[in-house]
Parts: sequence; structure tokens; C-alpha cells
Amino acid sequence: MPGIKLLTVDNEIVEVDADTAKQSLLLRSMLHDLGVTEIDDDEEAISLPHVTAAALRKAMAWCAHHKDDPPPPEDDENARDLQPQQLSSWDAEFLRMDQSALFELIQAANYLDIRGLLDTACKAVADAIRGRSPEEIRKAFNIRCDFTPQEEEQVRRETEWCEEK
Amino acid sequence: QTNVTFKEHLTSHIGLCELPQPALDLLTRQLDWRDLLSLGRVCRRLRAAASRDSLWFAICARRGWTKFGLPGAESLLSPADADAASEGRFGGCSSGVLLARRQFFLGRRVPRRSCFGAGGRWCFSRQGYKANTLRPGFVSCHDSFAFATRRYLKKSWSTGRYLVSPPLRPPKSANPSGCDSAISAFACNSSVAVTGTGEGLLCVWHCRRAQLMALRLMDDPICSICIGSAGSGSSGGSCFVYIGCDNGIAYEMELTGAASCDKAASEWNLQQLTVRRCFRCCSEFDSEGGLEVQLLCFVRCEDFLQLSGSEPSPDASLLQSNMLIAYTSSGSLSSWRLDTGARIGACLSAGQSAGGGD
Repeated sequence: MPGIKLLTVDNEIVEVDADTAKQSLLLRSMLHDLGVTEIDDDEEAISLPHVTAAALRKAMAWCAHHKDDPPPPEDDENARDLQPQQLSSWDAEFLRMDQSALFELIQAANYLDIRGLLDTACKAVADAIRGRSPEEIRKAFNIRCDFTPQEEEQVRRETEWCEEK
Repeated sequence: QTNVTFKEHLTSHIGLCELPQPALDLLTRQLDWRDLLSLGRVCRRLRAAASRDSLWFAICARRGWTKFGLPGAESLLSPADADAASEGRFGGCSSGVLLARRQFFLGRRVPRRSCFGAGGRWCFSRQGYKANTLRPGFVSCHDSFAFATRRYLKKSWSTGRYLVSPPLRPPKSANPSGCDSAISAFACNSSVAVTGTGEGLLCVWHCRRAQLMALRLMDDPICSICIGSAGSGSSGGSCFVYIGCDNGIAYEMELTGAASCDKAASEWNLQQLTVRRCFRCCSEFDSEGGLEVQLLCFVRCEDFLQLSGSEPSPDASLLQSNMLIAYTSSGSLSSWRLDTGARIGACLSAGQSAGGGD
């Protein structure tokens, strides 16, 4: 298998399998544009400004496992299933990582344009949000509330009707 | 060097709120309305992400709530309508959540004890029903309870749980054909719910107990019901129920003591006061999602003639205490004052003008 070299944002060169890398629409078009067919030791690595080495390795591992998957269905919000789809056990295990690593992976998947991985990782984050109160979400994700007191009051009033009595 | 700086920036700042927009879009689509509302209270960016209209369209479609693709439905939710809806006189467009959300956009709050679900006049979803088993899924609610007649369930909006409830189902014995006929019209206020069937059976229910209080067999197939506001707010007062029938006849009926709701059925004074010609406004269309939406309401013909000077042609209209709002499928919207007959406004500005006129 031919490999390609990628330079990550933390100045690390990661060599990946070209076929696996082509699941990233970004890399696929880059390789196409550059006409890269086989690895050349003298060749310069492709620079990826938004991707860390750890996230890149993770993303490529996901791609390698899912290389035979059918392409994700077309984007259609209304055609979504009634129930949110469950993660496969492999994906659930794969995504068991700390929060910042997960967010880096999402960032990488988004930049590299790997739709399936982005979808899967977002499901994992949604699972972490589900059933939590706003305060619990803030605590879990270490988010600072940036509403002004007036906004806060408005937001509270808007959702007052659906709160538990 | 620049890369290192960027890396520091990247790792020190990325969090849920800093995710790229496509990721937030995917993420929010996995959540249901309750979680979206929670998410919307966390911070500004998440609030924006959880408030996208397309998310709420999708939720409504998924849950079988009417899509809000009703022509002009959004424009109809003017501040005046929102006020009326919050008083329980008529509901805005569809599910309570949706109505509430539209009101949020208007900067209004929905009082907890208000009729979210909308008196059933606006939005009846028939999703999932075959043509030969049509049973309009009227949904209405009060005091945080919804009566979903098609499933005979009572849902608590505050807890999200469904409870098995006595259905608002017309008794078989009172039915001319003896069969269990589907409810074709529905309305409710804070104390009573009124249902009507295509066979002309009118039932008055105790709203909270879902108990039948009175019934009456009429000659005409009932197609629309609305409860007037007169006296319905005060205890011991009476309210008027307007009943529109398929053949164009309308009834005005006084329910005495409707607000107190303590009377036994035998004491109920169901009186047919006036019979008038009525214009029944009925619009049915298929939206792109395959949802069939039925919109029913009626306006007294002479009112409309007097006001507009022409035969009523709009697809839908609303009669508020002192105002008539009508819109057409082309999207034009007009409103008139009932007392003076003056036209208040038209088209998109109607909402605001109407609000001012009120």
C-alpha cells in the first residue's frame, strides 16, 4: 500500500495509508490535485493546520475499521429516524477517551471532512448531553455561562413552562 | 513556531462551545426537544445552535406534530395571536412546543396555565394513518395536560410521561349508527372540552377529569367547533360554543356555568340560541413531508361580508374577540376590526398593526 506523509499542527509527521486516507474528502481531493500515486521519500509532507497527531491517528484508525462501510446517506434532516441511532459497540469503545481528545477528534474529522466519523463522534457527545440540566451540562463540559443577567432571566422564563413542577 | 502557538490555542480553547458549526449541527440533531431546551440555556453559542428552525421542524415532523409549513402560519402568530393563544382562546399553529417557540421569538412567555396545544383548530396531524382509518389526532392541553384523542392518552407536558386516560370518545350508545365514530372537531378552554363527530354528536367534557358532562345529537355533521371567550374566564360565567357543520350551518350554543364545571350533566343548559349561515373555512393540503394538515375554522358569513364587502375567499381566518384575521394561500394577510369594520392592515404588516389595534 502506498503511504502519504502528513504534517500535523503539533509538528509531527504521520505516515498514513493512502487508501484509508481517501475516506477523508479533503485528503482525497488533495491527493487527486497533487497527483500523488506512490510514496516518495523526498516528497514534502502535506500540512494539516487544524489537526493534532493524536487526533489524526485516531481518525485514521476509525477510517481503517470502517473502510468497507457504505457511504453515509444524504443529508436530510426530516428523514431522520424517530429514535436516535445507537452507536455500535466498536464505535462506543473507540470513542472512550477524555473530553478534550474527543473534541480534537471532532475538529479533525470536520477539517478532514470525514462525515461518518464526525457523525459518530457527535452522537457520542449528544449521549453525554442527553437528560442533563443546563447546570449539569455546564459542569460536565466546563462551560462558562456568558448570558447577561437580563438574558438569563429571559431564557429562564422561556423554558419555565416545561420544567418539573 | 506558529504551529506551536496554534496548537496551544487549539488545545486550550476547544470545548463543547467551540466545536465547528457542522459538528454542532449534527450534535443538536441527535437531541429531542427537552434536551434542546436545556442546551439552549447553557450559553449563547449553544443557544443559537439549539434554536435553529430546521431542528424544530424536524422534531415536529418526527413526533407527528403538525409541521409548521402552514401557509401564513408564522405570520399569523402575531403578538395579538400570541396573546389570544396564551389565553387559551385559540392556539397558534400546532404543538404547544412549537407555539411556545414562536412566541419566544416574539419575546413572549407562555404562562404555565395556558393552552399550549391549541384548541385543536389549527393543527391536526394525520401522520401515520391510512386513508380509510382516518381519525384526526387532535391534541389539546390545559394545565399541563394534553388530550390526544387519537391515542386516548393523556400526556403530561411537565414530565413528558404518557398516562392512560379516559378517552374523549363519544359513547357508542348515543351514536346513531351505534359505532364508535371518530371525533371530527374539538375545542377546549380551561374548564370544558367540546367534541363533535361527523354524525352530529356533540359532547361536552370535564376537561381535567375527561368525564362526559353532556351530549347532544344534532342533525348536521359537525366539522368545526370553537369556544367563544365571553364569560369563560370568570367563574360561574357562561361561554358560547360555536359549532360549524359540513352543510354550512352554524350553531351558537350557550354553556352556562361552564367555568365552574361543578354542575351535574342534567343541570346543564344546552340551548341552541341562534342558527346562522356560516362560512366554513376548510383547507386541506399535502405538505412535502407527506403530512396531511387539516385546518378548520369558521367565520360568520355576515361578519365577513360586512367587513370585506366580498365573498370570503381566504383559506383560513381567525375570529378574535374584536378582530378578524384572514389569510390566503398566496400569503396575503388581512385583519379587520369587528366593531368598526375598519381594515387594520394587510400582508406582512398585519401582525403588527393588529397588535396595535388590539
